[in-house]
Formats: sequence, C-alpha cells, structure tokens
Amino acid sequence: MLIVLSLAYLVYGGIQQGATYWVTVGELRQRASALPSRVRLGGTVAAGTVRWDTAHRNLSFVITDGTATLPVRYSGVVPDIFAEDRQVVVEGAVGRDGTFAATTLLAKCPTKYNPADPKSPR
Amino acid sequence: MASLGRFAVLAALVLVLYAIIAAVLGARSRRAEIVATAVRALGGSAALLVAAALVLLVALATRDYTFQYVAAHVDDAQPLVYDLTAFWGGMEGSLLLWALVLAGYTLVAVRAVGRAQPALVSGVVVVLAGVAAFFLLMLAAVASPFATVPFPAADGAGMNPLLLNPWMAIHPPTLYLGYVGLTVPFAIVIAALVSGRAADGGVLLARRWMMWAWYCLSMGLWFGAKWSYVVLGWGGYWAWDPVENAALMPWLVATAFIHSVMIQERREMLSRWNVVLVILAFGLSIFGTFLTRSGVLSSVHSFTQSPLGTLFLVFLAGAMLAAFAIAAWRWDLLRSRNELDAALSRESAFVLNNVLFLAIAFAVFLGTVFPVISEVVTGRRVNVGPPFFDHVVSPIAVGLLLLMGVGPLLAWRRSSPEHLRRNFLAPGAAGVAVGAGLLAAGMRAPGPVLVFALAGFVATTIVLEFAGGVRVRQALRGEPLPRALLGLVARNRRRYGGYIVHFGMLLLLCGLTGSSVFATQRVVTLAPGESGTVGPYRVRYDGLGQTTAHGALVVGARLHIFDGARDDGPLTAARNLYLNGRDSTSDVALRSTPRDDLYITLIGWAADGRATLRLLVNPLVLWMWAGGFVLSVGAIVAMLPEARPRTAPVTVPARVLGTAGQ
Amino acid sequence: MTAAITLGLAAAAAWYVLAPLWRRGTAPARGESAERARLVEERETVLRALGDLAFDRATGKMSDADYDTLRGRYEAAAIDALRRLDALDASHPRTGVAGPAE
Repeated sequence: MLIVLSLAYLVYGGIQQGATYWVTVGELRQRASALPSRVRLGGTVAAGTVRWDTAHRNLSFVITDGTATLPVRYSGVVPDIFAEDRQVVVEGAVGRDGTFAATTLLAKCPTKYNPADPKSPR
Repeated sequence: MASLGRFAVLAALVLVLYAIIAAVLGARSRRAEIVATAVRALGGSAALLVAAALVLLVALATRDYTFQYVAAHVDDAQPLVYDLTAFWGGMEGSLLLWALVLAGYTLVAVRAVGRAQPALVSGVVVVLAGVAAFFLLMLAAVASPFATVPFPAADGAGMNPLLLNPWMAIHPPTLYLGYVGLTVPFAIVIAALVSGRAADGGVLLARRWMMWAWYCLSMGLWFGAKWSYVVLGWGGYWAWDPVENAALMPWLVATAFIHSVMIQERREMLSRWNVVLVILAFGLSIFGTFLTRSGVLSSVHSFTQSPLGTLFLVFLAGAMLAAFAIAAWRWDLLRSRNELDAALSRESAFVLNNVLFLAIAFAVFLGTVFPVISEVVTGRRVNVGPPFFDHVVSPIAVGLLLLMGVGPLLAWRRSSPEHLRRNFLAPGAAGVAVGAGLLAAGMRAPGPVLVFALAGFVATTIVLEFAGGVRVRQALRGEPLPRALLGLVARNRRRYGGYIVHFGMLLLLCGLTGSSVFATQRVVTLAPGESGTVGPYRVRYDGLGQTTAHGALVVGARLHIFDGARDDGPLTAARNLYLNGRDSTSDVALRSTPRDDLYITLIGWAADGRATLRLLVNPLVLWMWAGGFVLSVGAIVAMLPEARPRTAPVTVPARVLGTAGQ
Repeated sequence: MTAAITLGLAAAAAWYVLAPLWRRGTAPARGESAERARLVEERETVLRALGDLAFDRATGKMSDADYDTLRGRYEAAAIDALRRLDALDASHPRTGVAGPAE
C-alpha cells in the first residue's frame, strides 16, 4: 500500500515537471495568451525559410501546419534529419515578438520505419 | 520473382492455418499423428518463409527496382552490406523478419517441448501458429514487401544515411530475437494452462526461453543506445522516446520474471504471478511492435499512418483477452502450495524486486501513452517528456540498486538478523567509504553520491559472495584459488552468472549517473589555430578539410586534443553532406577513456574557415558499455545448462525416517 | 509451365505434411504422466532447497538453529517425495525411453 502511494506521488510530481500541451500552429496564433507557457507544436518546416546566423549557432525557420505559419527561433542541437519540408516537433513558448522560442527541437523521419534522431539534451 | 515471394507468403499462411486446425483436432481426438502433421506444416511454412526472405534478399542485392520496397530503401551508391540490412529497414521487410524469426523459434520450441513435455506440443503449436497467422496475414494482405511497379526507377531512394552503420545493422535483428522470443514462453504457458495438467502453469518450462528473450532484449537495447550515442551526434543514448520505451517495458517485466521464477522453483509459490508476467511480457512485445507502426504516438521512430496500427491493436487486445480468460479459467489450478517463511528472506527481497520493476514498467507505460489518455480524458493532448521519466524512474532504480546489494546477503527461506548484520558490515563500510570519499572530493549532488555509495556497497557484496563461495569450496576440496573459483561458478552457474550480471548492471548504472549528471558542454566558434576548453581538455582547431566518401561530401574539422599538459593527438569531427542535398550526418570525434568521453561534433562552418564546434565531456560513458559487456558474459554463464545434482547416498537419522510421510 | 511446377510443389508439400497420418503403426512416445511429472518437480524443488540451505549455512547467512530446523523439514519432504515416486514407478512401469528428468 505504501508503495502504491509513493508511486502515485512520484508520478504526480513527474507529470507536473514534464507535462507539455500539444497545440497546433493555428491555435497558437489565435490564443497565445490563454495557453500554458510551455507547449509542444508539430508541423512542417516551410521551404526556403531556414536561416542560420554566421556562427551557425542560432537557427530560425518558419513552421507551418498547412494553413497557419509561425516563425521559430532555436539555438540548441539540431537533429541531422532536420531539413526543409520535413516534419518537426518543437517545444517552448511564444515570445513577446510573436516568435516561438523553442527549447527542444525534434525531427521526424520522412520515410516509414526509419528511426530518426532525438533532440537537444536536457 | 516477386510473385514467387507473394506465393510463398500465401502458402505459408495456408500451412499455418492448417497447423492450427490439425493441432486442435489432434489434441481433441488424442491422435498424435495428426499433431505430427501440424508440426510438419509448420516446418513447411518455415521453409517457405526462408524462400520468401531469399527472394527479397536477392532483389535487394541486385538492386531490382521493380520491387517497390527495394526502390524505397536502396540506392546505387549504398554499400552492398547496407542494401542487405535494408531487409529490416522498412515496415514490410521488418514484418517479414518477424515472421521468419518466429518460424525459426517455432521449430526449435516445438522440438524442445516435444522432448520435455509432449502433452503440451499441440497447445504450443496452436499459439505459435496463431501469432504467425496474424503476421502472415498482414504480409499477404496489408503490407507486402513484394509489391512491384511495372517500370523500375533508374535509382532508388536509399535508406536514411543514419542507418548506414554497423550498430544499426545488428540492432533490429537482435531486438527482434528478444521481442519474438517472448512469444515462446507465452505459448508454453497458454498450452500448459489449457491442458490443465501443469500445476506450475508451464512457467518452469518457459523459464529458459524467457531468459534467452531477456538476453536478446538486453543486447538489442544496448546496441540501440550505442548507435544513438555514436551516430546521432547529440551526445546522449536514451531519450525516453516511445519506441525506446516499447523495448524497455518487456525487458523490465522479463527481468522481474527472472527473479520471481526462482521463488517458484524453490517454494512452488507465485505461479499465478509468474503466469501473469509471461502473458504481460508477450503483450508488451506486441504493443511495442504496434507502437512503431501506428501514428498514435508522435515518435521520431514512428511510421506514417497505416491501417496496420489498428489491426495490431485488435490483435493485441484479442490475444490479451484470450490469454487472461484462460488464466482466469485455470486460476484454481495455480494455487500456491507454500507461503513465505520469513520477512527477512531472499524470497521477500525478490518479491520487493518484482514490485519495483513492475512499478517502473507501469510508470514508463503511463508516460508513454499519456498523450492518448489525456486526449481521451480531457480533450487536450498532453505530452510528458524525459523529465517525467527521470523523476519517477530514478528513485525506484536507486531502490533496486540497494536491493541488489541486500538480496544476496539474505538466505533463502529465513535469514537470521545477527548473521545479516555481520554480513552487512563490510559492504556497508565500503559504501560509506565511497560516499564519504566523494563528498570529501567535492561532489555535492546527493543523488550521484548515493548511487556511487550504493554501487560500492553492492560491488563489495558481490565480491564477498564470490569469496565466501570459494572459501567453502576450498574447505571441502582443498583446490587452489583459480580452480576453486572456476569450479564454484561451474557448479552454480545461475547464481554466479546472476552476480556477474548484477555487476554489469552496477557499472551501467554508474556510467548512466556519471554521464547524465556531470556532463559538461560548450559551443565554440573558432578560427584556425584557436583553441576551446571544456572540462580538463583543450581542443585546438586546425582547419577544415574536404573529401568525398560513400556518396557524400565530407567536411572535416581537424582538431588536436590536449588533456592538461599531455598531448592526446589529433581527432577529426566531420559532417557528411549527401548528394540529395538534404540529408546530413555527423561523424563524431570521440575520445573515450574510463574517466570520461570527449565528444565533439562539427555544427557549422563559415567561408572564412571558422568552425562552430560542440564540445561535450561525458564522464563514465565507457562504464556503460563495459557494463553491458559484463552483463552479457554473466547472462551467458547463467544460461549454460546447470550440472545435474549428483545423487549421493545419505545417512538419514532414524527420527527423520520415523516422521516422514506424516 | 509455372502452373505445373506450382502444382507439383504443392503436391510434394501436401505429401510431406500428411505423411504421418499413414504411419500409424509406431506407438507415439508416451511422455510422463501428469502425476509423475508433478512428483519429479516436487523432488527437484526439495533437493534444490536442501542444496540452498547447505550453501547458505556454509557461507554464513543462516544460523545453525534455523538450518537444523529447516533441514529436518526438507529432508522429510525429500524422503516422502522419493518414496511416492518409487511407489508410482513400481505400480506403473513405464514403456519406452527414460524420461528427461533421469
């Protein structure tokens, strides 16, 4: 019984720490203020929008879900799979300037059953 | 050619369906010859699957682009070896591999069960053939690797270059040996339950198979982690990705089983629990196969949407319902014959071990399916990432580490507290010494200090176990130390193999802690000749170089490493830019020592020759790989057949004879 | 042509699979009866228990008092199991090859 309770406590705490909400690009554009600060966003890297700064440390691109778009800034480890027209998942928050500041960037492999690589370290 | 493959799969399906019917009829009418035809049908189906596999292999090797599958996973520039591993690089091929491995296991298992408990053969045939039937149906009707196009393309698409790596070549087959391997103990247990004749629920017969599947899963997980670390360039080896979790969960359940089955062997207890574990392990392996094939969870590994996912879920649900229904039907048969002798015994330690492992498995499961649950319950899809898993799993893992040390100190059945205290002293002192030493050396984070202290504790326990056993043996036989040690291990393979496995796990946990808590990272942009520092290392950047290799432009940063005053020599960090203009991979510059790994990736470069590098120092990573290796050795030792206990005449006191049988 | 080959292969496969049905002459190897299997399992369990006990006491984990008590209990159980096994074998002599447990 004790074990069940401790487990429940751990799980609850873990959820608090790790939970992020999934949103779509459209939702983010419309209701940014109503959503929790840390969200997860899935979409595609819009073609022609990938930009690196000169030191190749800061990345910016535009994410789209087909209809709505959102600019994204990111400066962590970029997965090798990342490229235009590929599906990505970003985690972070919308900044005051309307750009999505991503803390995590995940890319999904385009072909079936191809393990792609994960993202930036914790 | 492709039609031959399609035909082979279809024919195999027919034979497998026949096998199910024949086995049921044969068992019902008690006519062994009918069951024998079922076994032969399975043999025929296996031969057909080998033929189908050969068709695909030949098509891959000859780059026959009329095969859709070949065109999708092979290209002219790809090395031949990876053309062949493309067999399991895509969904259809991986299903064929599953079916093939299952066929192989089926043949071996039916043979073995036929020798050990012939009455169970028909049941085993039905279950294994049933699972095979599902996979063959998928292969024949939904996801055939033998689909063709009338006009072959000039060149194929090739596999993602990240997969062109030896570790990724062996990772899926090894993992499959584990996943599919869990089907056999499942079949044995179901057969035993249905036959109603095995009071242990078939568990003891299934034990060997569970161990083997567990071993393969362990190795598969290890290879996957190694690949992730060496190839992906992010400096980590585990990301709590749903597909990684999918392999971890059955592994956890299987590990629990390996321990609790020992209780059943000695005390004829926990048979119900063990039956549940076996069913659960199989269910989780199918669940894992399902996870990688449906679009249900967003994973970097997952397939695009496919009807296959739903079908898998249906199959999984059906199999689990049926299995648990059968278990419920025979529940009374599995009644325990004994109870725990004492709270302070190895048995109760194992029970606690099981609880903890299952707790981790449950937590991982919850975290993995959380997005789906949250969407159903609240309407919003919520993800729980690595922080959740780390937060929940770490304390439980520490508990298991402690248990790993305390368990061996306890005797089976009943341990006397004084003896326990006495045996606890040396290891306890070692643990405290390690902890104090680390604190004195400046380590402040409580978690790692605790882990390393416990590691010292457990390591001492294991060493003392070996020492104690050797001493006993020497007292009995007067052998010299090496002989005594070998003899000890040979006579008690499972026990001492198990200790070696524990030691491997210990190293692994230390490596895990070191590299996850104490990693340091720096991102630097350097002009040629400039240096950056990270941890104890100084990295001098000497310039860029360009070559071409295996269909890619390789841009390499020449580096020179200095560890304090010592010159450690040159190293290169490179990026491979593939001709399609989009794919790129990293060649990580890696220098591994037992103390830490220096891990450098080239992130970018500018026209003026400046390069941006990511410098990472990961302590104790080598311990992880070493731990995996030690675990492997221990597992093999433990799996070797135990020497049969020799019977010897024993003088029995008269009083015992007088009370026997009452 | 292909049809002929396919038919030929199918016939061969059918013959291979169904052949055992015509060999009814040989009696199938009788495995152990459930009863005997259970007794053998009991014997193995008790013998293993005795082995564990001896090892645990020799390596200093169990007190002598506990050892004596438990050993007495398990030795009695062992003798009981062996006796019942012998009785079963005496009244039901088994045909064919020796079982794997021997």
